[in-house]
Amino acid sequence: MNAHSPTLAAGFVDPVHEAQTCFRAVLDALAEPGTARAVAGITEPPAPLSAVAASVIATLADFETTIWRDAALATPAVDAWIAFHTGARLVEDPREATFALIADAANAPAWDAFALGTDLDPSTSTTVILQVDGFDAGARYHLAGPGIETTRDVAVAGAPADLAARGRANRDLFPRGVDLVLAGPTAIVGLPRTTRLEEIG
Amino acid sequence: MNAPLSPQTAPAATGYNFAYLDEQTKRMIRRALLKAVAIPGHQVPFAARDMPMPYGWGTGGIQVTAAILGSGDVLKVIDQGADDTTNAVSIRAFFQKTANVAVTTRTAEATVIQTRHRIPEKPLKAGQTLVFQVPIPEPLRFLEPRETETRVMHALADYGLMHVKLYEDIAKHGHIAKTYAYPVEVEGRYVMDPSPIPKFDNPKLSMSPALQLFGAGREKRIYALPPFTRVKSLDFEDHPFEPTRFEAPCALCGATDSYLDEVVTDDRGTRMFVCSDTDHCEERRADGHRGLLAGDDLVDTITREADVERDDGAPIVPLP
Amino acid sequence: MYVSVKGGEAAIRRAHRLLADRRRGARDVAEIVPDQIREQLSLAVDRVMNEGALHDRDLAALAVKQARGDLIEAAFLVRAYRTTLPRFGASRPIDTGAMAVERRISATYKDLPGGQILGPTFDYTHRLIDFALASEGETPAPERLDAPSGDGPAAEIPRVTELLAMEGLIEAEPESDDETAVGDLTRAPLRIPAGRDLRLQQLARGDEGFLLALGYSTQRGYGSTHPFAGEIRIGAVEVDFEAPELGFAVPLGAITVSECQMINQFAGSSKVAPTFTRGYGLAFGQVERKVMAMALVDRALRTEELGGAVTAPAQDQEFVLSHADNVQATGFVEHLKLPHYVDFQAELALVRAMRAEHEARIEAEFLDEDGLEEAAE
Repeated sequence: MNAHSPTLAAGFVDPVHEAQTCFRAVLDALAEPGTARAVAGITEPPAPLSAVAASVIATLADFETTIWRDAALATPAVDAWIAFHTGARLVEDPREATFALIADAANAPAWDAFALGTDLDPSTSTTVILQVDGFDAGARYHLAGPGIETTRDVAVAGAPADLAARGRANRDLFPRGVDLVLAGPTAIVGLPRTTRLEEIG
Repeated sequence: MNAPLSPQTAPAATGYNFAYLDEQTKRMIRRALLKAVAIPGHQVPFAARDMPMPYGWGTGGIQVTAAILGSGDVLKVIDQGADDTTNAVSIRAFFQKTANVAVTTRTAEATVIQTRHRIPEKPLKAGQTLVFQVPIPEPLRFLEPRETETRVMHALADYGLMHVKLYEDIAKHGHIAKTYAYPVEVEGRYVMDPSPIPKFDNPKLSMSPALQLFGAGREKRIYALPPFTRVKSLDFEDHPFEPTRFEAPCALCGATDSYLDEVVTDDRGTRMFVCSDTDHCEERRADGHRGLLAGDDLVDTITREADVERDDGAPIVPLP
Repeated sequence: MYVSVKGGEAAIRRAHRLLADRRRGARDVAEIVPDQIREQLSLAVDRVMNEGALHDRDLAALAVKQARGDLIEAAFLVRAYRTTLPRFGASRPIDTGAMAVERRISATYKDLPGGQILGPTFDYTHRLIDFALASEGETPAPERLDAPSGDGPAAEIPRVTELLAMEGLIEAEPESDDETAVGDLTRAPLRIPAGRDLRLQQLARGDEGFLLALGYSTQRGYGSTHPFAGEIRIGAVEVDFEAPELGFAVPLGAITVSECQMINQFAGSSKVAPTFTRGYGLAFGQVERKVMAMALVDRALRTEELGGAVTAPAQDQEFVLSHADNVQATGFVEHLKLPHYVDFQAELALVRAMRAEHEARIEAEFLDEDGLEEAAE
């Protein structure tokens, strides 16, 4: 596969330990929604795939999973990178996706366009990896739910404008629903389906 | 045996991958763990592998630990609250061998604690992960053995059968006759088996700062409680949940708030009660706490009785 | 310290040394080598390959030695090793029609094309202990009769079920389907109801004793299927692997398998003409009992799809598939020897409390009534 992609950007240097470190960041991010967890590892994936989103997908996806990517990411370079570093099958129907990669947050499909799982098997839903601008500025949200002792506030720059409304609609489906991993420039924030989300400005 | 806590960088000496499992298997388990955390109390199916130790001996917990463990972790393994029970020793040795990971017996020093049947007495902290070995993950199993049926009950949140069973207990015995693996309700939704911990430990499940992961290898299920998840032991208004209490303090450290093992000390049925959490008991004694029977003579006696293996270097004699 | 950590570690280490000693047995008896097990205890090796779910005669023989002849323990060793092997893909379906047959019998026709070939069977041996085996002495080589076709490749022996199918008397074999991937119960957790591919996988690696008992139960009326042993054939088949990057199949070699095609009770309705139905068993090596039992249970597990009511244990997918794996079963049964004193303590406390309440209640009732009068009786 490398042969027809001579310029293919690198993946993890030390796959075993970097993937473990990245996985723990994702686990902690989803276990404690709203906390920013540093992710490093992959440095220069093909644009517009971000380094953080690339690390997360390389950590979690493989030939037993499927990936849907938005129009912004559907470039030959990104597709080749995903195919080489994960072996996952790319799908065009978001309902078939184990993972979704979204670079253009403003035009993200409604969450219920993805696999939502079933009441019998709610774990079969899509995990959405949404590239955002960061967690230092932007819209502020008040979070509550499992993983949060009382409430927790988080700022997200570059999220869809209706993130709170999307969260409410997703939460109403519980136990079905998607889980979100927001991928900033150096860190991730998890918003699992259990998190209650309220915009506070 | 508190091993040094410095990160270990030397490669594991076995020829197997770090922490035994191949990376593809780890990814599969990791994906299941993420969904388990996102749906607290829901049993996520996963393709548990045949492990090099028997099913029922912690293969689920071992797979979860192997999937999360990193070279910077400090691992503690307990069985019945003790670090020195043979299966805990064996599992700890497995990870020392395959992951070259730092190990400890101190609850406070551990980042990952794999446990069978207990939650440590010392309150867990943020950043710690407790991995439970689970034999039967399905809380409804003993009421309805068919998974095809119990899955539907969970999907519909139809737990009437469980409430009927618990109420029958009260009618028949005056008590809910469940002393361990006492079912809990997670965030008002899923009824969950907390693994066979004594119900004494149930209150520790709720609003814990630590992440709690549950692995059932033979039954191929993973479930989780994120930190600060509300966990309620099932009960009735007129029969509220009551954790087991002990009449006597620990004979060695004098603790009155810990779970106790009953130790039969002679053939006339004389008994003493000592902490099941050996780290907790040792730490209390190191801090100067003394129980009624904490004289050195007695401690020596117990040590000799428990350490049944002779260490006299006698050759092992082959069978004639 | 209350119990020293080192104690447990030393105990385990010494127990393992003792185990190695007992495995070796008396030192004045020559140590067995795996080649001897592979060649002379070959049916044990076959069983271990099946229940260990890995075709490797040398490894299975070594596992039998290491396990001191405990075949479930040996299968467990093989399974744990199997877990660590890379998975390259699935072979092409083997063609048992092209088998180099060593044994082939049918209970449904007195004579048939290809004939009845007894082969190396215990059938018709009188089960008299052969004391000559206890002494030295070479076993004579078997007699060889030249096959009528001479040295050329053996003609394919038609399957009995094919003969029936020509008349339409037996249900059609399922169409082979290259599109849908065959399930793999080691890569995805088994869901009930399971397809026949996964059921047969679980039965092939299932415990021989469990399948035997279940198959037997169907014969005794617990889910009767009126079986006839249409054909049992044992022999070598080629295994081909199609590597996606090559685009053609590469032969990996030949393995011995046993196959049983049971012909069962007919099904039909006012619309569909009655036909016989199939039960199928296939496993590594010479494992006739296993594949016969497997075929009985396979057919019993098809009860629902053939329109029958599930009433007996052997027909119950969830019961059969959940309990067939002896590595799982032995682990969970034997885990009861692990310490349970925390849970037992909790039960003790409850039983003591309930007994105390019981005593108090009896005493209260006794005092309520005329205690003296009752005591006088």
